[in-house]
Amino acid sequence: MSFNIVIKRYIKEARAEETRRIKVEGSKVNIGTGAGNEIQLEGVGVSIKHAIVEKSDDNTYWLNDLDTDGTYINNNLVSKRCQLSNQDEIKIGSYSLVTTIPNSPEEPATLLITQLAGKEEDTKSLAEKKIEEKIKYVSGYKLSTGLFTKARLSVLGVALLTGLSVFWIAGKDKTTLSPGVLSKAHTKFNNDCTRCHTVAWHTVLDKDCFECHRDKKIPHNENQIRTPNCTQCHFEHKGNPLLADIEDRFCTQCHSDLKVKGYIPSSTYETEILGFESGHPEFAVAVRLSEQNGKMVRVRLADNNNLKDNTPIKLNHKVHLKPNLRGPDGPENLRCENCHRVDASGEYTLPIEYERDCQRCHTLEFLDRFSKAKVVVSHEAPDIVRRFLQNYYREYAINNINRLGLGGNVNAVNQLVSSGVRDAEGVLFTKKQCDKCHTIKEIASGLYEVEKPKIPLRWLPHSRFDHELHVKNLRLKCSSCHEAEKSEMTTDVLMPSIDKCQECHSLEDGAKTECVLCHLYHQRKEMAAMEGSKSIKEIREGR
Amino acid sequence: MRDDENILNYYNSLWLKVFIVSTILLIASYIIYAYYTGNPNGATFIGIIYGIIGLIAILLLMYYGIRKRTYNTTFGTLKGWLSFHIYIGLLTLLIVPMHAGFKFGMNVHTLSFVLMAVVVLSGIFGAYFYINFPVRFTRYGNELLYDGLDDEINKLINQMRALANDKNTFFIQRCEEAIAYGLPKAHKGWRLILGSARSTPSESDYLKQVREDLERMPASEREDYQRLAVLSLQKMELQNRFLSQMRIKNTLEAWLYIHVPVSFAMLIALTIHITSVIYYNGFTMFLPK
Repeated sequence: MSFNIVIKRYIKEARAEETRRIKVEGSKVNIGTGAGNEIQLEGVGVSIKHAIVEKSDDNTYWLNDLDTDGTYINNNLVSKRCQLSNQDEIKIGSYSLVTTIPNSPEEPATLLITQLAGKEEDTKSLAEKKIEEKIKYVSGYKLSTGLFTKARLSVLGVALLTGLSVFWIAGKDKTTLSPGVLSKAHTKFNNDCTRCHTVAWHTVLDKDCFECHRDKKIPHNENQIRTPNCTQCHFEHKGNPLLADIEDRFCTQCHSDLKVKGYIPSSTYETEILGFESGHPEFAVAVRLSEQNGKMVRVRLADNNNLKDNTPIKLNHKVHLKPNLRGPDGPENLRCENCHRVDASGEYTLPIEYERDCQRCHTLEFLDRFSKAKVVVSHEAPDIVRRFLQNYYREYAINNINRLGLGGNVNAVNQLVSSGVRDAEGVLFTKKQCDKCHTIKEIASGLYEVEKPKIPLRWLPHSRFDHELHVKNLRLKCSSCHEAEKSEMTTDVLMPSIDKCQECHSLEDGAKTECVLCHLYHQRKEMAAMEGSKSIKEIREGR
Repeated sequence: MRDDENILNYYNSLWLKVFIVSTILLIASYIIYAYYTGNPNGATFIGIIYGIIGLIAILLLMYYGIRKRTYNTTFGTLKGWLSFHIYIGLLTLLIVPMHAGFKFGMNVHTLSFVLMAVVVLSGIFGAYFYINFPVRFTRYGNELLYDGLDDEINKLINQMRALANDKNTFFIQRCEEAIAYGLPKAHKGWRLILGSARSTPSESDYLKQVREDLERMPASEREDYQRLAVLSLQKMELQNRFLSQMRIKNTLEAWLYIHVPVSFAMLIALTIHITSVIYYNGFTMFLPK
């Protein structure tokens, strides 16, 4: 038993038809794309095991359809098992299989297999193709077949943006890459990025900031455990006109749970400050430990036991602020600013100066016992005053040498001078002249020493305050904060407590409460500012 | 699956719910963030987190283009992905300005946002068309089947040419004219949307011309000329029906020609944005400050 198979295929590459003849032994011919089939057909619509043509024992031929892709006999869709007649046309995919069943059961049946597609398409004449090209009607209206396809437009968009970016990156002006406006002070760099961004793929380095801001190199506090980089607190390109105007969180990131290097008793500093209204301690003023010990200490305004201004000077504010005070030219009313003058910045008051602030009323004078004239003395150290007095009396003796009968007697002159000086000093240092305000010590008989008052320049050295803004702009009275009108003692500290500031500076009332409003992270002058200038001796002794 | 389920209410409106919840969470988080930061911007730690969320969202939105073309996958249904694409796309209009602290300028950073906004807005048009307009195809009886239309027209033209074979010059001329009616010489897809693409005469005009022509035709060719006229009318009718449908189809598709190219342009702008920011700030910017 066998089958004759004739396969006619159109070979596209060769533009020719190929005929192959094979003989299949047995009673079955398997058809499909799989390698196990006697007839292997390729293409769409053919399954791996598509169908079987078989000869049964009674010499009839059958088609077993194994597939769901579709098998047709004489253009009728068949399924499962069908009997085949002579010249039946079986269609599988793009193949036509025509059966020739012999009359004699001994002869083999023939399957003529022809590939339908391929040839027709390929053998069309060029002229025909041309006509077809002319009438590609649908594609003339489809958006996807136009010149501007999504892919082409995408390529165009990508190319445009890439070109622009090359232009931006290669160009000098990189404002396009800048994420936002610079702070006011940095606009002078005229968008020259490399002024600050000196290292690529890296944030701006501190050294780049210190190029200009040299004074910011000093550490905030020598005991701090972490020093943040400049850019960790100061954000550029973020629309901040002032980079120094930083948020509280940059302070509270350390001060909300403050840790310090080494051992420092935590009682000496506040460990938990969350803001001006939450956890901020009462202000601590810098005062002298005692009149004898010149060391400055900080005492909280609430610490009534230790809050004492030990500055060796005597002043009664209440008396000075009394109405109709006796002045050199008659009664007058003194005001705070008559003595406490504002400095050039307008922020602070200038240190009190005798010549400017006191002398007009408190002239340093004594009555010359010889001439009975009033003599005014300069506000100088005792040795200078003594020299002045010596010169004064010596001059007096020389001018009146004949009248006084001192001619040629040097001892008599010296005696006159020393007795005059002694009397004058006695008046000046012990009879409410110098000692009206100063503490005077008689270190030896007739030898006086005036204790330096060292009035603190700043009471709150860790903060700043703008007096001009409060007094001039807001028209606040000095007495609103400093209760000088009630103060009779020099030891009274007239600094306002935190409650006073919080009356206005609270979230509710609107005045700002940011840390940086009063505190400076950089340039903390601390004790140096409190104690004023030092003498060479003090510096040498490390004080 | 419910009968009325569409891309907006897919899977019990899963992505709509995700969208609503995310919007509420994002707005709430932003209010808290803005309150505590004072000056919210893209360089703060939270700002960068918004940026990373936005970037992931954009990449997932762009992945839809790949997923759409991947057939042999079970990674979510395509309808689900489209539903995600729509809602998360809308969400980026909120996430990205939050990332920037609602600060914009004349720079590449804002450009990426503007391009993204164009993509999202065109997408909103697309979703609107997708939901509302497929209905309009059915008005014309059958669904749009333009794949076989070329063959149909080709067949009619061949029949018309066959009729003109061996006829007088006037017949042939009229035949070629009728063939040429409405055949686009250049691509007319975009002009179709603007409504200026029709180039066939009206039926009454054509019939009037046919009546006039018949009088000029030799008696032996009149019958064939009438047949030609019938074929020509069939062709024109086919064309006009096709054009009406194609106009809608093109109008509904036009948004994609903004949506897709601008999204790629946006990707470049976004790359420049991210690269330049890291170039000038380093990777330490990702650490909490």
